[in-house]
Amino acid sequence: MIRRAVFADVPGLRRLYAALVAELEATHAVAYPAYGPEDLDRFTLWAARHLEQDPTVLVYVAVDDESGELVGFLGGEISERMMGEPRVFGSAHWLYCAPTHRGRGLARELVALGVSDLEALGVSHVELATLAGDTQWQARGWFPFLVHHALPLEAVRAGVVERPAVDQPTSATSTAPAPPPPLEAVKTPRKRRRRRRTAPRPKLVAGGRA
Amino acid sequence: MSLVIRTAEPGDRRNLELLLAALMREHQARFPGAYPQFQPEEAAAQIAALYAPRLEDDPSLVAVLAVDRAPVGFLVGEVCARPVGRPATVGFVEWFYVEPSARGQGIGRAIIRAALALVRPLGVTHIEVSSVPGDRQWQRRGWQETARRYVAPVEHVDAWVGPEEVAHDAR
Repeated sequence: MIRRAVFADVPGLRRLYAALVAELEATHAVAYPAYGPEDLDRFTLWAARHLEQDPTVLVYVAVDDESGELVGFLGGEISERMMGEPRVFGSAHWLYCAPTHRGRGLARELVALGVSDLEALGVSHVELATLAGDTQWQARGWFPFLVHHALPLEAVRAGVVERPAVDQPTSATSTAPAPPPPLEAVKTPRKRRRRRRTAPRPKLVAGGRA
Repeated sequence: MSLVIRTAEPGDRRNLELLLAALMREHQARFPGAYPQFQPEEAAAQIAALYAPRLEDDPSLVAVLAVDRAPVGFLVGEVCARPVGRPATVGFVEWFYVEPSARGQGIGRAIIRAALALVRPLGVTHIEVSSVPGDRQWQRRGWQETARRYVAPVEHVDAWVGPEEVAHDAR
């Protein structure tokens, strides 16, 4: 049976989440973010706090008809971005089915129930995140739109060490504002003869809360 | 020319708005199919208006400006807590931009150095950024891809799960 999750499902969801993480770690090198035993508790607390309490949280479970045990779940939420269309979207976080119950269409049934709720709420798009290199959703026709990257702080620092400035565009005298005290003043050399340079690559990051 | 790198203040709302709009225009010109879609000027005004009051007293919002005679670059990021996974506290770069005429002078690096000085005392050990697929500048700089986000219209997902009615407990 497929149904919406209720508070009483928290222990079963905890068990499924632990199985999901264990399977991911066994089959993929999950380097970042790392998961530890405390994260199982965090997930459990999250589920206990939100199930049947937060209308933006959508969790569905697959129940074994004979044993009554949870054998799969889909978890996500309705999210709202600061700007851009669609402003409101469904965000799928977890989809998992126990290995013993795969091949029976349970995942599709979970998704079907989730989709029916999203449609009823007027949500037009669903987003999800995969580990790097996992192309299963692209193979199903999903469109990749954002790539997340991470770097330790020290490596970021090493990449932005101060180096001598290169050619400067000509400019007039300084009119730098006085307050507040600057974090860093970039001292540029005196005007030099300009060389032709190729256009630098744009340095931009656009995104928002993914 | 003498350029100053400083933290943004509530009074910098207009400066942030102008730089955000410039970033968005350039980004959309370079990646016209990017998702989600937005109108740069409108979105920039909205975002700057949301940021401005937080710049007063919210240390989790990190905003650095590069100012010459006018602002020429900026970074805005958030120090976020992730519900599960480590590091639990992370610095997420939302916007980072240097105007084309000011590039090649180390301004972007100076902005990042200033931002790092702000987030380090908050316990941040890792920085995260996002880019659109096909923009490989961060990987070239040694950043590791950690995840990829996908989107699909609900109708597409509906079609994937099949047309037949699914029996479920309709509460």
